[in-house]
Amino acid sequence: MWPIVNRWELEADPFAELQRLHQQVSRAFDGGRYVPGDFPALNVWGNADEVRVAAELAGVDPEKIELTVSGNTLTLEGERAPDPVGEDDAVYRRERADGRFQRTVRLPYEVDNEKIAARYTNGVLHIDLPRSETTKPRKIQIEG
Amino acid sequence: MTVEKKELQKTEQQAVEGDARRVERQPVYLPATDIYERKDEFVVVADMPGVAEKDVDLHLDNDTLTITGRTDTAAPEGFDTIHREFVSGRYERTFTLSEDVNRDGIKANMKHGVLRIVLPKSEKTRPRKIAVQTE
Repeated sequence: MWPIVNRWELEADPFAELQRLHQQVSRAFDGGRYVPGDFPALNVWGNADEVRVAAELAGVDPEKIELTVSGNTLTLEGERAPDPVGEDDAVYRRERADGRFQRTVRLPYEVDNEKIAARYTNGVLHIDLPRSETTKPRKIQIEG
Repeated sequence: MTVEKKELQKTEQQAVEGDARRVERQPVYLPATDIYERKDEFVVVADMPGVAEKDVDLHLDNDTLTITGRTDTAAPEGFDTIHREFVSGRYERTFTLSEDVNRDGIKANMKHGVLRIVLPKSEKTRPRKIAVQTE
């Protein structure tokens, strides 16, 4: 049914879900506004040549997402517009937060700003950040 | 995406999965939801990031409307996990519909990971303008 790798991931990190729950609870107590640093939820993967970041940004206009890379710091910011509710509408539940958000990620190495690619699919922003050539480890020939 | 069609798909899916669903080890998320009432309809908006339209299910059983969706966020091949805040899982939430929802008119769409369901009120409960006649 599910790829084995997912189960392994879950068992390896039982705190991820707790952390998420905590975030949801603190968000609820904050009256539906974003707490700086907790939105969007992020996953970061990497290897020697590239870092990949996924951010949960449901319902955000991709045009309103701003990505900035400075050194080895990636900053993601933007705004989520509230759902348009008319004056005569009765609101029964309002759990979806809106407003400005900003999140900063420290990358394991400097990346090549020219090669960064981002795509927004099903409310998740995927960012591919290839490592900058100049910071790649190199074998240095020793002249004898 | 009509509810009837989805219902049919759900039934088929249940038949296929059977007991497998019970041993599911993935987390179940409660999607953050807004609910409001307009003059002619109810609107339910649920955040389900990572869920494609084809992976959403709406199931209507009498007064109970259940929404489910699956999201998959496995590490890309050849990459190690550096930081993780969300994992693959299932969104699920159940709503109880009031009498005045026109079951046949329910419509849903999915955009940017947000499920939006519009539930029209049945004709008889809609506010109507009644003309007052003078004698």
